[in-house]
Amino acid sequence: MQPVLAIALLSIRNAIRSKLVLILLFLLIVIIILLPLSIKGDGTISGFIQVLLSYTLGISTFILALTSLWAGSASVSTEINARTIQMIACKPVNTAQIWMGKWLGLCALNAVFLSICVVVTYGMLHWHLNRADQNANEQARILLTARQERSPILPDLQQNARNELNRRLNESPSPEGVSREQTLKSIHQQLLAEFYTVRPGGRKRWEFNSFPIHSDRQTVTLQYRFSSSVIGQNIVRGRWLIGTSEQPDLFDIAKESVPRALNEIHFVMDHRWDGKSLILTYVDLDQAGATMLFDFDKGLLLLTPEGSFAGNYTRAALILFGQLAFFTALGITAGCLFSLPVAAFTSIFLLIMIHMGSYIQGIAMTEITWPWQATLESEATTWFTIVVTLIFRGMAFVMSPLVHESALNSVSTGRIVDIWWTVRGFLLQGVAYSVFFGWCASILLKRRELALPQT
Amino acid sequence: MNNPDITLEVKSVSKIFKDFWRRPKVTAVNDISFQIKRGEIFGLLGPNGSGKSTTIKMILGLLYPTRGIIDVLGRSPRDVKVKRRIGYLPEESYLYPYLSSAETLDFYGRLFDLKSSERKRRMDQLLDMIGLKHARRRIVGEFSKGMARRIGLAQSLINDPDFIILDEPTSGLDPLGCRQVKDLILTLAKRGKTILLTSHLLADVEDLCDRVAILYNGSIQAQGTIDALLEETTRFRLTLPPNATPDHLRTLENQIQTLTGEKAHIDHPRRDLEQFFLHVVEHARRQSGESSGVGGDSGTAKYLAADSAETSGATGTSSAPKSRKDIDEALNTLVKKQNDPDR
Repeated sequence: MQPVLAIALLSIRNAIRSKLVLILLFLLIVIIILLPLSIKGDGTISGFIQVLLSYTLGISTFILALTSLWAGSASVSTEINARTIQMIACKPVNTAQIWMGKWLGLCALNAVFLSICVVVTYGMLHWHLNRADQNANEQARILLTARQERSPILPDLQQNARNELNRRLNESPSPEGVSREQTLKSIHQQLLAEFYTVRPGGRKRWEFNSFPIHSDRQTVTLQYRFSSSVIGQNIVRGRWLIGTSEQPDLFDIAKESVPRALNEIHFVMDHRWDGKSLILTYVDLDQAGATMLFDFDKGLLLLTPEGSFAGNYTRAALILFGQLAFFTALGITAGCLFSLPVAAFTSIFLLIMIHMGSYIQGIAMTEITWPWQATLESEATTWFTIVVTLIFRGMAFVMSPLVHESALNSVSTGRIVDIWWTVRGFLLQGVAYSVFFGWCASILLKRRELALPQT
Repeated sequence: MNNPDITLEVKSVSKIFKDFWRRPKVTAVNDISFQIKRGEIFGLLGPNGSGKSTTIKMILGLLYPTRGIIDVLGRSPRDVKVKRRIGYLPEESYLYPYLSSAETLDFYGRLFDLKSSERKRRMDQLLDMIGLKHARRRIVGEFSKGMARRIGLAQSLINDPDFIILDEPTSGLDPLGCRQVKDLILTLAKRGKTILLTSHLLADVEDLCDRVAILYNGSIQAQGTIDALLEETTRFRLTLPPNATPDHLRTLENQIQTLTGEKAHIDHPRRDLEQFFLHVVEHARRQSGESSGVGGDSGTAKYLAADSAETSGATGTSSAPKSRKDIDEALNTLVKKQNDPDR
């Protein structure tokens, strides 16, 4: 272990004695302090928190990610170029130890830089809240927690769709050329839309599973986003009834909601709700006769407090650290294979690919209709499209552990970054992927002749 | 190879450097074979580009032979266990410019997994030995070439190696430093250490080496003991006792002329310049005290010099200094021969 720590210490000393580190530190602090002050937000405290946590800290960690890739690429490639690696390679140190030492050293530096960013951002947040008025502080109190998202209980839509299909088939036979699967899928979508639709003058009831109540004054948020059938409508009037199955109108809240925007209602729950399902009812009172369609994906949520902001923030920082460790591993591995410019270009290209992960996943989800599945309604996919889609599916599979919602975005909107997410993010990216890269790099470095004449 | 008396065996080794498309570009080493016995000082000589450094890097496992086998201390050069017993001073001291001299030695000591107390002890002794104790906190990047060379030498000895590979060990050193390095090499050899060295300063090689191999164009052109290579059986040298007078010499000169019919050549012996220089510097140091550069010779580090008395009888101990026959001449003749198209 001592050789690994020696190489790690060497990397740290190299960085500390370089002016680049001071410049980076200065840049990060300037970004964290000046960016929130220079960006004109929406004037609300939630907007400021979003700017500070999501954008400012996001930009800082992106800079750290780029630096990690660059420093990682340089750590081995410059040693090969300067031939100093020959002095290590002729000592009783194997290539895995060289890789591990470099990685640990740069990870330690990343930990320091990230900690500084996280602490300064936290300080900025508190400084701003101390200067804000009571109303803003009350909003911040609700937002700066770790809230669990809870969706309404969905009925068994698959079974309901099958029943509905059977009912229709009994009434009239299926048209020729239309497959059963396509019809079933179509009915499933109709039932889902029905579940989230409130017709003009109607009411809709949703049930939420019971959830733990941690205090006698637990602020719960109802968050919803919907579309209106009336084009150009700015306000939709209605009432929200919140209660239990025995008493569904414990809270009766009249609300003017804005279509396509994120609408929120806060209400306080106590221990009387323990173990009881929550019943949510919407009564449409709109004069314009609008039909409301709530978004299928997180269009109707309850946000219930599950932990403190500090814990949430720390867990998000751990995930960020895991990402930086991954990028460092990627950079070092590229540096073991190529010269600095090529290694840096390759690793930054991969960084961009990872950031385009959701786009790649989107393409990968393109449905393939194989020639033998083609019907009158659906033509077979071309072979070119099949090949491209399969390549993207492969890429999406490899990248799937790396592509997920931003932990910073969750923290800034008061959503919980749970332990499972933290463990998965930290262990998978920070440890498992990095160790895999280290293993590959050590094999490749072992095969590489480190004293070849340089051209 | 399991013979404990053989430290290094190079068998029919070739190295061909290839281009990006794996096409052969340069044959740097071509079918060379030699052995180095335990406790021997072996010199690898040759002009620039003759394949000396390539051979050394293959012995260290930094390059892989295209053909042939190299055994170092009975194992493959790429074996990590072998590397624990090797010390290497490269032709240029590839050091980290941001580390101080103490940090440099500490770093390499850590790579050998030496305990903290042992590292510190060896570091102190080595810095003292190379005359840089006063510069232990100065960063290596500020050092002159000679000072960096000394740190390079110290790092090669931090693990008290059994097999020491020194690529141009006296390059960049002043005559005083050269003498210290040569004395150190002899001390190490007396302890039974095996030393492989290359040098352009052929007088150094002649002073130190038991055997040499002369490389040219990647091939070994000659190898053997210094005496065997340099002895000229057609010429003679006569050494007179100290009480010989000019009258004795004249009588002898006349006798030789009578017997051979030719006049013998007699003159006064000369000290060599190195000895004279060392004498002058030593005298000046006694007069002026401390120097701002490299400090005085504090002798060999204790852990390196330990047991030298006991091990001086080890196989193949150095017999230097040897007779001063001109090895440069031998090499130059050889090179000329190679370049002669009619040979």
